[in-house]
Order: sequence, then structure tokens, then C-alpha cells
Amino acid sequence: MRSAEMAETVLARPIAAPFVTTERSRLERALSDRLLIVTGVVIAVYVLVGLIGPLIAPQNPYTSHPGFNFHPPNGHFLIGTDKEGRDVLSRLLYGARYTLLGAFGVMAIAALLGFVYGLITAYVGGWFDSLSMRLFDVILSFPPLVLAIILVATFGPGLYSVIIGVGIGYLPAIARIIRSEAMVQSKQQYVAAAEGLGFSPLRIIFKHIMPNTTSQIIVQASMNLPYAIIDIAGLSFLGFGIQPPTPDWGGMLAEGQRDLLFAPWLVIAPAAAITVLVLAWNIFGARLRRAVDPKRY
Amino acid sequence: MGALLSVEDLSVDFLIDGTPVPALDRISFSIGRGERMGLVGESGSGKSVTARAILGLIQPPGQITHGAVIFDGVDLRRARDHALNDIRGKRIALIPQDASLALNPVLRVGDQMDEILAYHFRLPAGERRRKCVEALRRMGLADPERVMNAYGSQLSGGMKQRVGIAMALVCDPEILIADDPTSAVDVTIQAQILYEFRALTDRLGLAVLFISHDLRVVSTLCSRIVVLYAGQVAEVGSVDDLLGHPRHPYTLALLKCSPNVALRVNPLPMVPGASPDSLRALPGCRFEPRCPRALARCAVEAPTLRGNGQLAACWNPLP
Amino acid sequence: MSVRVLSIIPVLFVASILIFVAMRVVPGDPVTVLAEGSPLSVEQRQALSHRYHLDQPIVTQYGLWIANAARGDLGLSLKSNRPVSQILGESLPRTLLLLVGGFFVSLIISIPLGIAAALREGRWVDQAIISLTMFLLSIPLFISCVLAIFIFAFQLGVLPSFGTGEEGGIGSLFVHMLLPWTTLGLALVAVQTATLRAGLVDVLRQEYIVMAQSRGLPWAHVVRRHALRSALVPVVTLLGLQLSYMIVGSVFVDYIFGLGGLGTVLINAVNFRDLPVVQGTVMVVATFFALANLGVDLVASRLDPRYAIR
Repeated sequence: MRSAEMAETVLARPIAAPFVTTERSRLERALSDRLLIVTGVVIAVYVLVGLIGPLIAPQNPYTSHPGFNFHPPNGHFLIGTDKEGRDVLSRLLYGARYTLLGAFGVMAIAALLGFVYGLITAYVGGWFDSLSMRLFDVILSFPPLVLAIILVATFGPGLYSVIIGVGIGYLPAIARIIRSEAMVQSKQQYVAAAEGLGFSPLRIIFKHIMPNTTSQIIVQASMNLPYAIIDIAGLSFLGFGIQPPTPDWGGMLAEGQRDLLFAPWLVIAPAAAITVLVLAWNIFGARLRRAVDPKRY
Repeated sequence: MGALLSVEDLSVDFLIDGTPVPALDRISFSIGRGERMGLVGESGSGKSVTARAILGLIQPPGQITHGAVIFDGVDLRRARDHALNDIRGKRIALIPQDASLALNPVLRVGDQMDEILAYHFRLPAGERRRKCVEALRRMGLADPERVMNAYGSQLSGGMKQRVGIAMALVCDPEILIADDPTSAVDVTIQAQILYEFRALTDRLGLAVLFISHDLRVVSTLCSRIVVLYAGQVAEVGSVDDLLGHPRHPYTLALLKCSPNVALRVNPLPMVPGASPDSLRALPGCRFEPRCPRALARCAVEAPTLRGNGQLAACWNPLP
Repeated sequence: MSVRVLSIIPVLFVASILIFVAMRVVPGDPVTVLAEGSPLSVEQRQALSHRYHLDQPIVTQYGLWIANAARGDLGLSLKSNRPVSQILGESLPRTLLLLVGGFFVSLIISIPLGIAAALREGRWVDQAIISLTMFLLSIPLFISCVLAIFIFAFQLGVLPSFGTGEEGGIGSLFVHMLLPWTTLGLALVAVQTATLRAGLVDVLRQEYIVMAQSRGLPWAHVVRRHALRSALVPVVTLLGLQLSYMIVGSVFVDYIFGLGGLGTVLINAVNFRDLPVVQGTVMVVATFFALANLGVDLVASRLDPRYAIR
């Protein structure tokens, strides 16, 4: 179980006073939570930057400005320059898309594929299910990071190796959760009814069972996303992800680390970028869950 | 003879969703040395709150907002923690309503009893153990050694209740507050406990505050009774007075409701209406909605305790 | 139960096959790596290939590897020619040192925090601690490592930023490991604090706590003897769960601080395409990981149904 899930399950206890829920709608509760709004805005900003980063960057992130290497932040280069004389701010803005791309790529594999796989294997059962579970056991015997490292060692570094590696690493856990949820659903009356009516298995899975499990997949995806971000950045940090000179936050951190002593802004900028995003997401997710279901969260 | 314990104008509020809800509203009564006093009321009347308030055990969202609890000249409400801990357990003891909840499941009974003595007296371990065994035996537990070594979950309900009482008595306190010690127990054990109670208090000269909803039980054991309704004192007086000629209509109603097996009354008398469930500050007498003797004044103006020896908070008491 | 224990063997078996195959699918072929870029004649290529069994069918290669592995021979490093088992033998203790120290530090921090938060539930101390845990949960480990180096090694200059210091004796070891232990430990603190806090809050609401107070026992004693005893149990269960998380984290801390443990070895080996070392290290990590998960499954589902994985 992931840290955030554990922490949240455990942090969310009913408080001592008898808890009286007022009759506000979920939307009202959500909108009145200032922290929720603030973090939501922060995330939106990140997504925006991810989308239009290149358009608003003041410089070209690949252009070196000779003579300006390791320049501390000033009027011209707002966050200074790196060892090649490139503008850090621009690199940061460009790099946003890779981080987000990476994270969403991982979630696409893990959450979407995991979702589909979990649904199918839950319904089909039998040897397919058993085999899948054994396969998952094998995959789960590796930390996702190590899987990604193996893929990188095999196919070479790059964003795709990393995304596929981490995605496959997350997939079994998510698929399992969906599977157990779907298995519960499979035993419900409405499934038997649908079978009796002669619906094809595919239809039953996707038209009937799936809608009842979507809330679960949303929760899983949202809780695992920050970890995807961290893992991708971590792999880039180790040199296994996006290769320089392509700007990417993890890679920038790795480069900056070498010159930490006299150019700390090279590290602080990407570090802050990553941390703030993860922090905002964690808080946003927790508050959103609380607004939707105050008794449970 | 001054009162041993005197509760004066005590008020306790609970903060529910931001608003203070009064659980106790200016209650007053006093208990003398060796006196057995009963506190009677229905559930929700504030009986347990009273017990905890006296010992300073009210936790947030509850809070004592007014009044004093004078024990042997010391106001417990203003006392420092150190002084309070010195009195609790040693001079005032509490017997809980449900003893099974009151024992720590992961510690042995013996350890829990021993630590009480360890903290209150300077006695060697062997001496402490002897006293514990003695206290358990006095409560009628046949194999005290085994009980000492047992965990709470290994004992029956009745045994746990007795352990609870033994733990309260092990330091020879001056006053015992028994919070409904018999309601969580079946009838035969109940009778046993009452019997032993009486024997113990007779022999040891303990003062007792016996809290219950059962007027009969209280009347067999106590010499004076306080009747509580909706967080307020309705009537206070000697048992004879209250049973013989109650003045507050609620007391009368309680008496009529207590099933007396000898009397075959059909249908069973009940007090119409229900006790106020949201104890928000009401202007008039809290019993007024259900009172057969209500006057116009009662809805508007809260009555105060009036009388001579036998006090009732009523504008229209029984003669 | 025994099924679960035995299931680990086929899992590791298949895992080893996967790693093996993956390594061999490498586009840039190992021979070139071995030659370190210098051009080779055909005979030299063949000799090299033969020496490392690369000319055999893959099944044979695997068979050889497994047979050797069973005897403890994991091959030779392509880079240093040292036996892989020796390299692992040197690096594993360092990793263990890091893990154990990290655990200790995490407990030293999280237990007081958890207690403080529970005792002042709802008040600002509690809120502050909850916020702190949320923050700690959000900082990626590699970032906290770099920041730690920046602040303590560079700015303040109080602590070293590289190596285990094992050469200098216990004192030096301690000083060198302090930052790695702390950064690794901090990664665990959030969940530990939350768990202890919740457990303690639950226990403190129990009737027997109030009753203990009613007997005149001092509050500190009540918390210590009556409450903490029950509340610490879930934290112990948690440690097992966190072990697998720790293993991954240790790779980062190891590498960043240059401790020379499994993490350093693995990363360098991958960068160098040193196949035998990568294989051996990944197998060790996978075994470690699988054992940790297994242990957790067994213990957790016994003790506390809340954490049962299935």
C-alpha cells in the first residue's frame, strides 16, 4: 500500500466532538475549502505551463549564452543560467511538459490498462485469472524503479523506457484493486441478469461492471500520480530518463547537483518545481476526497 | 458536622458543532461523612456527567463552566493536578457504570490494582499485593490470586464489576461515587452487589454517592436522594420525605412509574412525553411540557430550589 | 500460509529469467562494451564472445548462470573483473547499515511527534504536525538528499557528503552516515507518525484511560503504561511494510551519498552495461524485496486485518 494511502487512512479519524454534517452539497463544501482552491489553482497552473510552456518561455532553452555561464538570478535570466549558459527559467518551463507527459504516460499504462485488465480478469476468472495473478506476483517482486532500470539497461535510456517501466511496475497493484472490486460486482444480481439475457461478456464487463468501478479507479489514479511524478523525476535524475540537452526537471537536478556549491539555484529551481507540484497534488487530493465524502475522509 | 463533599452551582457545557449545550445547569447538593446519598435521573439527565465533573474528568468537548466542588474544604475545580491526583483514587473513588470497559485489556488485573497503591502509598511490593488480594476477597471473589494474574477479558461480567469495586476501595477512600454500578449486570448479581455495598459501607463508614435511574434501588441503600431532571436538580431530601410526600411532580411521576410487583396496576403508569433531547437553554422549567401541574409561570420563569429540609425546584409543588 | 512462502521461489525464478533475457536483448551488444569501444578484429570478437559464453544459445547461457549462481558464483564484473559475489558481499553490508540506521532515525523522530500530536489532538501542535507529515510525504527522496547535502555539507559545512566513513572508525562512520540515515528516515516519518497518532488517539478515547485517571494516576504514567503499549503495535507492523519502500529509497540515498552499497553498484553497472553485475544486483534486490513483502504479508495479516493486502 502506498504511503499516502496509508497516511490518509490513518490520519482521517472522526474527531472527538459528535460530528454533525450540515446539508451542504459536495460542490459547496469543495468550493468553500480555501486550501482546496489554492492547490487546485496551483495544479492548473502547472498543467497550463505544461501545455504552453514553450510559448511563454523568455529564451530558447537550448541556446547557450557564452560568457554567462553560472550566472546567478538577475533581471535578464530570472533564475540564472546553468553551466552551458542556458536560461534556467526557460528550461524549467519547457521541462514541465516532460514531467507531466511522463506522469500521465505512466498513469495511462498503469491506470487505464490496469483498469481494463483488472475488469477482464475478474470477470473471466479461471486459468487466465490465475496466470495473471502469478504474472503480477512476478512483476510485484520488483520495485517499479528497478523494473524501469532493467528496461533502461535493455533498451537504453529515454522517456519511453522510463514510462513503460514505471507504468508496468504500477499496473499490477492497480489491476488487483480493480479486480477485487470487479469481482465483488460480478457476483451481484445485475450481472447474473445480464448473463441471463444473453449479453456478450465484453458488453457486460464494459457496460455494466465498469461504471461501478470508475470511482475506485479515479481514486487510485489520483493517489498514485504524485508517485509517478517522483519516480520519473528520480529516474531522470539517475540519468536513465530524458537525456540532456532536453530540459527535464530530474535531469536538471542531476546536472545541478554537481555544481551545487556555487550555483545552488540550479538545484533549487527544479527541486521546488517538483516538490510544489507533488505537495499541491497531495493536499488537493486529500481535500477533494474530504469534500466528497466527509465521513470517510 | 460540615459536609464532606459539597457541589455548589455546578454547570457543565458540551460544545456540539460550535454551540454550547448545557449538560448540567447549576446543580447543588452536599454529602456528609458516612452519608449515603442517591442521585436519581433518567438517561440524559446528567448523572454520569456529575460523577465525572466531581472528579475533574470532564474532557473536551465538555467543560465545567461554573460552580465549585468542595471536598473537605478544598475546591477541586481550582486544585492543581498534583493535589487532584492525590485525592482521586485515594480519598474519592469512582466505580464505573460498565466495569468491562474500565479495565485495560492489555494489562493484568493485579498490575492495575498494584499501581494504584504504588502511587498513593509508600508500601513495599509484598504489602501492596497483600492489600489487593484482601480487597478482592472482601468483594467475594473466591480465588483472588488467579484474578490478580488474569487479564480483563478472562473474567466474567460480574467478576469484572467486583474487581472495579475492589479497585475503588483498595485505598480506603472517604467517599465512593458509584456510577450506576448495577445496571450493566444481571439481576442476581445486582442484588449481590447491593448487599455487599451495604455491608461494606456500614462497616467502613464510607460516604457514598449512588447514581442510578432506579429509584427503588436507591431508596433501599441511601438516606438522602437528589432527583435530577434534564441537567437540573428537581428535588432533594431524605428518603422518607421523598417517598412519603414528594413535592416535585417529576419525583411523584418517577415513583408511580417504578414497577412495584406487589401493586398490579393496569395500565402501567408512564410519564407522558419525552425528556428534552436537545438540552438547549430553555427559559422556563424544563419539566413544564410534561407536567400535569404546570402553571403559566412555569413556561416562562425557571424555578429555584425552595423549601425547608426537603427542597424542590417547582412553582407549584405538591403540598 | 506455506503456499504463500513457497510461491516466492517460482516468482524469483521467473524473475531471474526475465532479467537474464532482458540483458541479452541489448541492442548494443556486450562484446562491444567489453572492448570498451576499441575496434576488434573478428578473432578477438570471437574469443571474447566465447569467453563470456555469448556464442551459446540463450538457454544454455541461462543454465550456466543459474548453475553457477546456485554455487554462489555470479560471474565476473565486465568492468573490474572481480567476482560479482565479492562486489555484492562488500556492498550489501553497507546497504544494510543504511537501512537499519534509517529505521532507527525514523522511529526516533516519529514516535515523539506521534505522541505529541495525539496528546494535543485538534490543537495547533497537532495541526502543525499533520501539516509537517504531509510535507514530508511530498518531498521526493532524491530531492531531500540533495538539499541535505546543500545545507549541511556545503552551507554549514558540518557534515560530510560522501562515503560511509568506515575507514575512520566508528566516530567517522557515524558522522558520515548521519545525513544518509536522516534523509532516508525522514521519508518514513510521515506514515509512522500518522499511524502512531491515530492509534494513540483511539486508545486515549477508551473508558479505561479515564478510569485510570480517576484513580489518581499521573497523566504521564497513564499515557506511558496504559496507552502507548497498545498504540505502538500498529507501528511495528508498519515497519515491515515500509521495508520494501526503504529498499528502493536506499538505492537513491546510496548513490547520491556515494556510500558504495547496492544502489551505487547497480547504477554504475547499468551505466556501464556491466551485465553480470546488473543481473546479480537486481536479483539480490528482487529477493530482498520479495522476502520483505512476504514477511509483511505473513505478519500483517496475522496481526492486523486493516493491512491485509488481499
